[in-house]
Amino acid sequence: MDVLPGWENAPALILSCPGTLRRHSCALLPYGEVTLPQVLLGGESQLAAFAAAATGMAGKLFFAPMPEMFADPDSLHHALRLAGGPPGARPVHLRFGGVRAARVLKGFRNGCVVAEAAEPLPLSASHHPFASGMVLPAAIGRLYVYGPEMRRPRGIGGAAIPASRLPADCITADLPTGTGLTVPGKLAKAGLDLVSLADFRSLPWAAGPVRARTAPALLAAGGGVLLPWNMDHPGSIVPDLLIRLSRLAAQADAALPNIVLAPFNYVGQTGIIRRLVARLREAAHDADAFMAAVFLVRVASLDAIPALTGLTPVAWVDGNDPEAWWTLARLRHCGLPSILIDPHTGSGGHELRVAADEAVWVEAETRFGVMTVAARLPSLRALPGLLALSASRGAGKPPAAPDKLRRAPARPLPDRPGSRAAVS
Amino acid sequence: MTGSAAARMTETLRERDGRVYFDVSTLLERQWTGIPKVAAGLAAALMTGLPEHLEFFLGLSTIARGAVAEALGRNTGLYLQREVARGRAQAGMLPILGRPLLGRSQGRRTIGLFPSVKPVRRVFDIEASLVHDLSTLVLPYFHQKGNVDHHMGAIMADLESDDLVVAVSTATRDDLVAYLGIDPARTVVALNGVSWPDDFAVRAGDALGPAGAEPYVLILGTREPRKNVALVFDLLDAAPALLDSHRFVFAGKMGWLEEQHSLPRALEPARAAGRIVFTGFVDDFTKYVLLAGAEATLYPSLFEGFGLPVLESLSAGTPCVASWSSSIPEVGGTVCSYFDPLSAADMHRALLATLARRGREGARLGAACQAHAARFTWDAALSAILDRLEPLLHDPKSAGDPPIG
Repeated sequence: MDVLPGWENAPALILSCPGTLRRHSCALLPYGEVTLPQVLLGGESQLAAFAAAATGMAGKLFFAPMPEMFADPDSLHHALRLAGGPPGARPVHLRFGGVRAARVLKGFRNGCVVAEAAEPLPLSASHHPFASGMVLPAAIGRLYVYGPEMRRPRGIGGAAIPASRLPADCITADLPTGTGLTVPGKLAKAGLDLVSLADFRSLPWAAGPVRARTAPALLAAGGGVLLPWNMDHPGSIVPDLLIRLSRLAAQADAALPNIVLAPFNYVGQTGIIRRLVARLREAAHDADAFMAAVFLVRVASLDAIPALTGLTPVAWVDGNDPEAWWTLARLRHCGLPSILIDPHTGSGGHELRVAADEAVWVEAETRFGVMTVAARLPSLRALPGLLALSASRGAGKPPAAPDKLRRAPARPLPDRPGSRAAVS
Repeated sequence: MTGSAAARMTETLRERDGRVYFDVSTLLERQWTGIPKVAAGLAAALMTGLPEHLEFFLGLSTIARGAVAEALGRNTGLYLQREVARGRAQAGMLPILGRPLLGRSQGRRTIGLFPSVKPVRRVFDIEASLVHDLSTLVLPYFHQKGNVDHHMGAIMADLESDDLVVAVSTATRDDLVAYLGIDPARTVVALNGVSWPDDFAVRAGDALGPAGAEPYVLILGTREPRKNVALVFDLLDAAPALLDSHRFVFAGKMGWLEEQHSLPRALEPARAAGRIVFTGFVDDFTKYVLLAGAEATLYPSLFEGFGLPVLESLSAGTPCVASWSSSIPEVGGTVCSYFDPLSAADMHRALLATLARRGREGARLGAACQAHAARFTWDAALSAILDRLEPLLHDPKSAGDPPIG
């Protein structure tokens, strides 16, 4: 099995990632029977792409929604019996979906796929040993990374963990090529769950598929912007960006495009979305109208990608997100141009970028407690540039830059003096 | 009885004028379920096994044995809490305050035994604490943040300061090894016990009457997402005929994240008709009556450190149909039926099989359940711990800071 360097002899491979348990009908199932709630971004897509690349493993791939429930020896025999393989040959469990959420299948060889680049450590410490995203459970014996820029977490005692690089195939092997721009009439049928924040309700969203009555409004408007949202990244700027956009719309009378949030690395609880809604109600200008034009989308089937690219001709990708590189690669392969909201001045390599020119502290309530993370956000002066660039790609209309914003004095940033809003 | 382990420990402590100090902080809780119940079981076993060499403590104060005995008799921490607040339960200070070197220069002779999170650390020559489960570590999203903070805030420091880590099951011990890299040689497994007041069986017989109760299945435990009660709702939704033959009684207080385990609308009529019953929190005797009167209990938990409700069911002579997750099969052994905790269909199969077996075997199955449960005693748990602690008193190495891993 050349897709898994170091453990080529695995008699069976059990894949897992965080997700919604109640979507699955049993604790261990053949991979061919798995349906994941969204397959475009994040840990679930990393798992799906790996499985598609592991062509030599047909019939030996399994999926465990919650590997931590297996215990040696009483319930482990259940997994071993299903996974099969010769006596004495230990199968491999491969974990996807974020270092903080890494779990092990006891009695198996455990590997962790790391798709996260280095990120600033949270300012507020959590006592949870895995909260920093730099520490892995002791039983993780091997790391698999996509490239040298990936972070290298250590074991619980500080031990280095051997790492191997996954083949490039493992990034997009599951994606179809040559997608056209079409907008089917029935999004849910196409595998696209869509609901506005104004209509969002926890239980229907968690259960899926979602057929929202407001979806036709987005279809009619077209020209939306896809905004991927990594819910496992406490430093995500997405909530702050939305509030800032609502204020820009009010101050500059700018016509915002419909914004289509694509949450990923989503562990099943809807609390983060509920907190976003509550925060927008409190802080956004004209919150009800604003939230009616902000949608949540979930790509449940790759067949829905043409519909998605038809709805949203351009994406904004949060460059603070440690998985931004993955998101960019996946969207590029789908033919969806992305504008990188770039916290690194002078970084090249991406055609469309807007500088995130304002240093902020993002405070997020997570399952590890409240975390405060340094991030960079486009300032009010930079946002018109983002909207103009988006409009040039078919999203919404270009806004008129407000005089009062143009007159605002440039304020040097504490750690990046001299940087300024830039559109390249 | 703790037998030879307690006898050896008694002898060694006598030679050294030593003591075992037992932390009673968890016994201050008003309702004893889970960890306080374990603490109470061990405290009672210690009073019997080491009568002359036992001290109770809270913080840096020793606590009068009579106050603890009264709490054990009342099966609640309410009065102990009151007596502590009034300063009437405190008997003195831990000897560390009067003896700066506390025995370390004279050999090891004090043992601190902590039934849960350690309120103080590195006070005694030898320290051991119990780890009940690692669900706040492994499944933090199933817990309230305060609970995660409480356990995670202390766990690494507690483990580092322990000479011996006591796990309540092999599954929990394996989690300690797999997740936190604890050296297995520094651990011991002490399976929890189960015990009821002597008069419960007789009183329960009276309460149920000769005809017993209308057939019902009991689901026991706090309603929180980890307990996976939603799977039972899925089962009843898919197989409503079960509600014709049996009531389904959910006993236990409402926990957190209610949205994940609230009763689906489709089952509301069954609740209105009394076929589905939520009792809320029940006291120990009511719990025993509910257990003893049930045809079977259902325990669909996704993850446990031990699984005390399984053992309680068996001890009342009622078969348990349980998930095969984590530690549960260690507790249920061969008398339980198991199912996949993500599969309502598998739960259905296991429940029907157990109900049929109950019909066929009746009292014989109940006796087999009780015989299995009888092997789980607090004396056995304490014995397993003392067996490992006693040799540490002879270890010339001073209580150091054993590294994790």
